[in-house]
Amino acid sequence: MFLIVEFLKGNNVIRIKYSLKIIALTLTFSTLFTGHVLSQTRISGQLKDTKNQPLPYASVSIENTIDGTTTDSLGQFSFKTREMGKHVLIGSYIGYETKKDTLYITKGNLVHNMVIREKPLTIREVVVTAGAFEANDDPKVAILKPLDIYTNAGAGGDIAGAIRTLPGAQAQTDQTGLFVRGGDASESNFIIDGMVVQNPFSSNVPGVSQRSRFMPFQFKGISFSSGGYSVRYGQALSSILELNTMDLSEKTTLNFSAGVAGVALSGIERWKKSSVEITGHYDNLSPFLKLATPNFHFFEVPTGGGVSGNYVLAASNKDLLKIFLKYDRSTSGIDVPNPYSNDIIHYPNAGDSIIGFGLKNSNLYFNSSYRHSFDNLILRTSASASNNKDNINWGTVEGSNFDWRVQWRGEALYTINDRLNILAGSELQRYQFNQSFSTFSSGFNEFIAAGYTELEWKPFRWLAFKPGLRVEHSNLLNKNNLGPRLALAIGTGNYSQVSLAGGLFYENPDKKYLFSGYRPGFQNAVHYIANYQWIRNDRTFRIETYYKSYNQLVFENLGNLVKFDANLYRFIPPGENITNTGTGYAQGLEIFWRDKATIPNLDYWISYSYIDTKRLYQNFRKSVTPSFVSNNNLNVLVKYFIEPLQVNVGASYVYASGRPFYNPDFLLRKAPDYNNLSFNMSYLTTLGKVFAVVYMGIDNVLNLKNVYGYQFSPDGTSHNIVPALYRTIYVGFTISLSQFKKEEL
Amino acid sequence: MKKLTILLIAGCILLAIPVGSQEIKIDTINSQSDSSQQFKEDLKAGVNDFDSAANLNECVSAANHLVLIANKYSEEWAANYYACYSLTILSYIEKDGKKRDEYLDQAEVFLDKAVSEYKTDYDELFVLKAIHASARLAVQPAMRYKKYGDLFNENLEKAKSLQPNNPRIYYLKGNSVFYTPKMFGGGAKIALPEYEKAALLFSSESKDDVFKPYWGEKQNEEMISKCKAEI
Repeated sequence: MFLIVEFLKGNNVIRIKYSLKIIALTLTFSTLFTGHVLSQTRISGQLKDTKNQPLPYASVSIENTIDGTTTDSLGQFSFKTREMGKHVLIGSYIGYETKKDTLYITKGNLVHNMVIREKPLTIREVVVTAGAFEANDDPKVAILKPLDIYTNAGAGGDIAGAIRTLPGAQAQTDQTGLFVRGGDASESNFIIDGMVVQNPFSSNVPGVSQRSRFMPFQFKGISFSSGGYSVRYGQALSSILELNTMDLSEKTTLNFSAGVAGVALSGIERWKKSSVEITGHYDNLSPFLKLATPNFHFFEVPTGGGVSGNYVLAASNKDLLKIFLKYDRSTSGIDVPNPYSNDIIHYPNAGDSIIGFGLKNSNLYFNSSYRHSFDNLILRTSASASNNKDNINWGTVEGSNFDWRVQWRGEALYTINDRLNILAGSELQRYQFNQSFSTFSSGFNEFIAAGYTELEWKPFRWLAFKPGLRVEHSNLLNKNNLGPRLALAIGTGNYSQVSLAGGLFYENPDKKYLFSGYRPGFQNAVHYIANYQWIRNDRTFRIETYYKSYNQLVFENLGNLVKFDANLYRFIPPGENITNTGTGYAQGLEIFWRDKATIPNLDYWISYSYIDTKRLYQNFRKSVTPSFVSNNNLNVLVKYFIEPLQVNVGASYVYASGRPFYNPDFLLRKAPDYNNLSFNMSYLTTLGKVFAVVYMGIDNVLNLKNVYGYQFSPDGTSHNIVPALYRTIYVGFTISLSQFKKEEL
Repeated sequence: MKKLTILLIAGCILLAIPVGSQEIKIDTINSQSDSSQQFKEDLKAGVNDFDSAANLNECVSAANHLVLIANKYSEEWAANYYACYSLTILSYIEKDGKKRDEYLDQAEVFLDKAVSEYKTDYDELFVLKAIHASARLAVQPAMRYKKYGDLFNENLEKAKSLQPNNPRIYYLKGNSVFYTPKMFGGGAKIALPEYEKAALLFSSESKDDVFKPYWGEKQNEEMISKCKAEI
């Protein structure tokens, strides 16, 4: 009967009228033939793939009908149809190309076997990754998650601490900041929402590495570039650490946390299109110091406090406004080795080998960014302002640091088509540094204007080019620079790719020269980076090699008569021959392996960096490996979630080969190797509407008496540079209350 | 006259078709309501097969059949609705992540088609969007929870604003809570009230019109006993 209906389709009304008569007729006839056997056609056969394997659960049907079936465990199918004549038989299965075979259906049984082909693997679109480590929620580029930073046993909840466990960064240091691929701390820039943070770390204390001022959970994405970074940034010879603040908070919550180092209270209010987060904290290290035996005497226990606020408005899905404001104060007093023991001009009591270093700091940071999307165009603008003040007592001598910065950036990203987009933008930075020490005071002002453009072109899914150019003008140096950059990525398989990156990077001379009135030109570095990356099912392998040449580094040509002064806080006297004649190089190999898949609930990674670097710069006498470089750095990190107990445990092991130190005659002495084993655990639980985390951690579990290096006195004697504390223990908890009603409080 | 002869021959071929077969009904021939009656019967049979599937084989087979129905009756929102629904459920059964996504890619085509054919807002379509989003989430929970978790909640909220008495809203909500780790505010104890609310609404829902989706009661009952076993 279907056949008749099909047959009538396309004929005109008159024929339908005829056919109705015929049908009436045939129905009369057909009653005479009741029980006739030859009624339907049975179509049967087997469905196989190109490797001759039968495919079960595949669908076989006649096109445009519901006549069909599903293959059995042997790939066999069999179904009946009333269709006759020319038809299309469709075989389809998930992951396979749909096969269409034309059939002539006649009476009787029909056997038809089909072969279907597996869909070709689609080559993943390549992403330029050379030099960059991403921690965010974009699976295409992320190697880490923001949470990984927080739960890293070796990091102690510090962003910079976590970055130091990645390839390219020096694992440990007695100094503040990030030391990347042979560069000193001043060669790394810390960026929040596109803006340079002038004081990302708590103020410097000689010999004590300081934590970053920002907490990891304030950021949704962290990108660490150990070289070859984008034209959006400049003024960094080595590296960029880029952080992006959170978008709209998910829900209204109230959080309280307390630990051996302080307490914090934060509240988040979420409305339909906006959210506000307010946090207040008070820090006091006395309980923490009581749990350990400090190597230094704290004559004033570090205390501090602050507030921060965060406002996000997503007025539509095309707009996003973020405002971030933070104010902190802190006080501390610690006895440190006197860095000025051979500078009697600035520090008269040269005999004081240990001096009391008292610090009072206040820091204000403001950042805002706005993004608007049009059809093919995204406009972004951001502005920041910050202000930092340190009042210092160097033993009996008073000093101070005062600096501020304002910055603006505007940029447009235009998408020409899916394969091509272009970024163009400009930024303005204005900052001032002032310092005083005893009766000496100095300062300088800088205004930097920069423009940049970058093209991203993907001619194929497996090939991407990213050429760019950055132009900068420094008002202070009265010089311009032109920095070309190029990155490219080539897909080498479904899960792997090779990336290359390179470019020319500039940076102003170190502040100590600018304070003393010297105005040498820009220093520069040329980066060449090659990287191979393989990511599949929660396993990541990455190997990267690089060569960097440093040019026009600032060099004090002091001659051989003046003793080498290793003091990082030294003052540059006037009248020196300061030129841009310093040079250097760095080359190395880095390997990263992470596996989250092999053992359920176990996540581990291994990061190894080898570096060979030498430079002649500042007050060096010859080209040597700087004292902030360990040639070999190894980090092993393990995390395991004990599901039935809801407990996370983690451990980290850090190894760094001994660093070189130079005595006043610039003779080398090597510090011993550094080893550190840390452990942490956290317990997560809910009590009604309260979500709680209890955590504890031990840094340097084995209580190893690590020696970072040596502090040389002018007479050539030295003493060991040691950490402020060997084994440390911290404990604390966080409770979070969400979806509550006000009256429940 | 020649054409009439052809028609006559065609009519004779019909003699080969058994009269006892149920497809032959005089009233299926000339009116549109009859072909839609046929569609409704095909769909109802398909949905029943899917609902009563006792093993994976039957389940895949019933889903394949619903896909055929949706391909044939592509302008019927309900055909697309059930094709999407069955493929989404299949994605949960499949173990290979890539295949799960392929099922969901297929399901999404039917989902979009169902939405565009229905033309106005309909709570069941938002429920379908929600279950599709939660299936996407289930493929890679850690990576997708943000995007698809939001999508899931959003669509359930929309469904709720249109028809707060749709039991599937609470059934799906219950599932989402049940499979959220206890430490993040999930678990059987918190999920149970949602399932119980769904059960109450399911009990007063009529289950005879395939154009008014009624799936979920059996699964909801299973979840209730699962919750009670865990508490």
